[in-house]
Amino acid sequence: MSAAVALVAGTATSAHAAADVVTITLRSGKRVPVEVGQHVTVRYRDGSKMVSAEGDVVEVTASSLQISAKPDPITIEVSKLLDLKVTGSAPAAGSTTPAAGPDARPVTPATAGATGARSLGVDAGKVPVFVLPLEGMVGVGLRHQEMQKVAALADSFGPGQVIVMKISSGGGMVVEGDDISVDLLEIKKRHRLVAWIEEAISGAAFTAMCADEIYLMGHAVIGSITMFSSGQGGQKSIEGDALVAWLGRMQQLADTGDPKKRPGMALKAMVYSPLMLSYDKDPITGVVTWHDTMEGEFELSTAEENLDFTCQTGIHSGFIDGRADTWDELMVKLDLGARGERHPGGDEIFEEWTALLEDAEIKVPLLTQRLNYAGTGSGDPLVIMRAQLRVIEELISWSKRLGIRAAAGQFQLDPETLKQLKEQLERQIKDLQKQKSNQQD
Amino acid sequence: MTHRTRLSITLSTLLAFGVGRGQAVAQDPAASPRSQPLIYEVPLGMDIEMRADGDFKPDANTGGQLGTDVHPDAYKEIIEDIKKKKPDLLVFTLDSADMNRVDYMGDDDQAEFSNLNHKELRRLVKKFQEETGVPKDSQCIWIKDCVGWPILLAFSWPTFNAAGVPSMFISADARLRGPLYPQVARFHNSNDIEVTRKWRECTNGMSYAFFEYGGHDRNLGLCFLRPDWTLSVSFKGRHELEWFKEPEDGDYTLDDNPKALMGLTPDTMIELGIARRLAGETREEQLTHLVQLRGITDYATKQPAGPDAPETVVVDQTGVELFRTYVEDWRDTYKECSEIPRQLQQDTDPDPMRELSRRQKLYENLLRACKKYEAVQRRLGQMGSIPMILARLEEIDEQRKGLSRQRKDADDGDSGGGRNGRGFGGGLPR
Repeated sequence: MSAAVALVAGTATSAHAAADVVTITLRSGKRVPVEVGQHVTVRYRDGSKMVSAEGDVVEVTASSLQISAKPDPITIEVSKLLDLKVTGSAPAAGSTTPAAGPDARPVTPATAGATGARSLGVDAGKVPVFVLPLEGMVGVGLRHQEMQKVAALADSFGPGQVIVMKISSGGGMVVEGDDISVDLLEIKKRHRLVAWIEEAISGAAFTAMCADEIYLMGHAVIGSITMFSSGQGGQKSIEGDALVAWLGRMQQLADTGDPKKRPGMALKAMVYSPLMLSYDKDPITGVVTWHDTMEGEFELSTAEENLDFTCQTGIHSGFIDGRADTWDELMVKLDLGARGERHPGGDEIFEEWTALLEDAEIKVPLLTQRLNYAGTGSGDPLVIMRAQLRVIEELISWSKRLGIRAAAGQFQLDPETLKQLKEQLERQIKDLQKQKSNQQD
Repeated sequence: MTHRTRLSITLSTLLAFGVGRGQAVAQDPAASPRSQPLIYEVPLGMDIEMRADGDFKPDANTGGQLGTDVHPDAYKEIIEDIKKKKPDLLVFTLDSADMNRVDYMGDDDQAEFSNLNHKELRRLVKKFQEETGVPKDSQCIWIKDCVGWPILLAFSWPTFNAAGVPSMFISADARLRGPLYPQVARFHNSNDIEVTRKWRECTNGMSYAFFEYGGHDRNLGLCFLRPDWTLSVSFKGRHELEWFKEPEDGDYTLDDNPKALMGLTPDTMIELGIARRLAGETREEQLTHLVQLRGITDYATKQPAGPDAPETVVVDQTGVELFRTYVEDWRDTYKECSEIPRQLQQDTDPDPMRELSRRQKLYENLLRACKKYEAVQRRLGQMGSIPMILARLEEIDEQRKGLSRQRKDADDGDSGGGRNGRGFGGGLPR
C-alpha cells in the first residue's frame, strides 16, 4: 500500500515565520503545520492496531514525529499517521503563531465532551464528510461490514450526513454484492450516499450504482457486471434463469435511482453483451434519450461489447454526475466547497480492516507452509503433531478474524476443512500419547 | 548500491545543487527567491548506457520497463526533491520501449516487456500531476521513444496547458506505438465469450482512460488498443480536433485497417498538432528547443563560467541521477538474486551445520532484496514471495535444531547410552 501520508517542508510563508514548522499532509489532503513543543492528538497504525495518543511534540522531522508520553516518548513514522490535531500551542520562543500559514485550521473539537472518533472529528463550522475507502476484491477488501460501521458513525451525527464510498475494485463475490445492496439501500434512506470512483468493475460497479450520486476520477472506469463462475472447466458466464434474474436485479437497482440518468437498459448492457446501448443528445437542451439499439447518434455498446463508462462517455451521456480528481474538486461538485471536511472515522475503519488483510497476506501462507516442517527439528512425532495442531489453531483463528468470505475468497481457508484437520490431529495425538503410556507401563 | 552508483549520485547531486555554477537554482527558494525559472527533468524510463560487463543487450528496454524501472519506488525520492525545490517547469522524458529497433527479428527479451498494473500506473501519474506541488499547467512530456504499454504515459499529459502553451513534445526519431495485441489480450483471455467481452471492455476502458485523463479523445486511445477500431480526424478550428471511429467520417484517415493496431509517426503527431517536434539531434539541442517552446528564452545547458557571467536557466538533473541510481541498483540486486537458485544447488559446504548457515544467509539476502525492491520481487515471481522465503528460513531453523539434536544424541551415545537410557550405545556415526 502506498504511504498513508506525505510530509513536505513548510511553505515559504511558514518557513519564514517559524523555521522549525513542518507541514504534514495527511492522506485526506488536510495539512497540519507542526512544531516542537505543541500539544498534539494523534491516531496512527501500529501493526494491525489503531492507536490514539496525545502529548507534546518532542521532535518532528521529514520522516517521523516524536511526542512525549509516559513512560517513554513515542516515535511515529509519518507514513503510519492517520490523523493529527494540534490541541495546544508551543511555548513562545520567538514564534508567536505556531499554526500560522495559509493551511492552518482551527482545532476546536466539533463536540465538547465527545469521545472516540468523534473527539477527532470535524472542526466547528465544517460539514463532516464520512469517506470510506473501498479497495480490493468485493467480499474481501470491499465489504458490507465496513459500510455498516461508517453508517453507524454517520448516524451518531444525525440524519442527512454525507457518506462517500471511494471505490477502487475490480469486483468479486456476488453474494457479498447482495448484502452490500441491502445495506446501502437502507443507508441512503438516512444519508446522502455518494460513490467516488477510481475503478469500479463488476461487483464494485454494482456497489457504486447503489449510490445517489456517482463521480469519476479522470482515470476511472465503471461497468462490466457480467456474472460468471470459475471451476475446473474454466470460466462460465451465467445463462438461462440465472441471467434473467440478474438482469431483473439490474432493473430493480435502476428503479431505486433516477431512471432517466441511469436507465435499466444501461445497467443491463453491462451484464450481457448482446444487449446494446446508444443515445441521442439534444444539442440545445442537453436532454438524453437512451436506446437499447444502435440507432442513437452516440454508440456505447454494440452486440459484441460489454458496457463500461469512462469520464468522457459518462459525463456526455449524463450517466455519471461529474469528474472529480481531487478531494477539493469533489467537495465543489457536492456543493460543499471548503466547508466539507473529511471525518477521519471512515479512513480508520478502512485502515483497521486493511491492516488485518495485509498481515494475513504474509502470515496465512507462512502458516500453511509451516504445517510441513513445524516441530520436525525435535524428531519426536508427538512434538511435531502438537506443533501442527498449534498451526491449525492459528489458521482457524485467522479464518474467524477474516470472516468466511475473505478467508475463502483470498486465502483459501475453509473453516470446515480446518476443523476436520484439528480433530484428526487431536485424535492422533491422543492415540500416540496412549501408545507411549502403554509402552511405559 | 554499488560503489560506482554512489559516486555518481553524489557528484550529480552536488552539480544539481549548484556547486561549481550559479547559486540561484541551488538555494532553497523559500530562503532566497530564484531570479530564473528552475526546470526539473523526470525520466519515465531511460536508455541506460551499456554496462562494461555486457550484460544488457543494446537497444533492449534496460532502463525503461514499465512496472520495474518505471515504478513508484523509483520516484519516492524524486517527488520529495521536487516538493522541496518547487520547480517552475517539470519535464517528463518518456524513453520506454518494449522492443528494440528491429523488432521483427523477435530477439527481444520478453522479461523486459512492460509489466502493466493499471492501478499502480494511474496512481503514479496522479502523484506526478496532483501531488508534486507543481501545477499541471507547469508540466510537460517529451516523447523520446514509446513502444508498448508506456503509450498510456505518453498521453497522460495534454497537447496544450490551460494557457495554450504546448505541453507535449516528440523527438523526430521517436516511435509511438501501443502494446502488441497478445499483450492486450492477456488481460481478457477466457474460454467463455461473455467473460472475454467483460474483461476486454473494462481493461480497454482502464487503458484509454489514461488518454482521457490527459485530455485526449477515447477514439485515439482505442485505436492503439483495439485492432478493429479504425480512425479518422478533422480539424475543428485551429487547435481542436474531431475524432471519428469510422475511417471515412473525418477529413484525414489515420487507420483504415480493422485487423491491425495503429501506430503514429512523429510526423503525423506534428501535422495534427498533437505534439510539437523538437529540433536538433542531440539531447541538449532538443531540450533547448523544448524550453524555448515553453517560452523560456535564456536557457543554457550549462551555467556560463566566470563571476560576471549572466545567470541562465539550467535543467536540474537530480531526478535523472536518482532514477539512474535506482535502476542500476535494483538491476544489480536482481542479478545477484537470480544467482541464488544456482548457489543453493551448488557450492555446498560438506559440514551440514555450516551448509545450513550458508543457505540461511542466501535466503536472508533474498528477503532483504525483495523487501527493498518490489521490482526484484516481481521479476523473481514465486521465488520472490516473502511468505515463502520466511518459510524457508523457518525450515532451516528446524533443520538446525534437528541437526543439533542428532549431534547431541550422538554425543550422548558416545558417552554410553542414549538420552532415555535405552540406546544401544555408540551413537550415530560422525
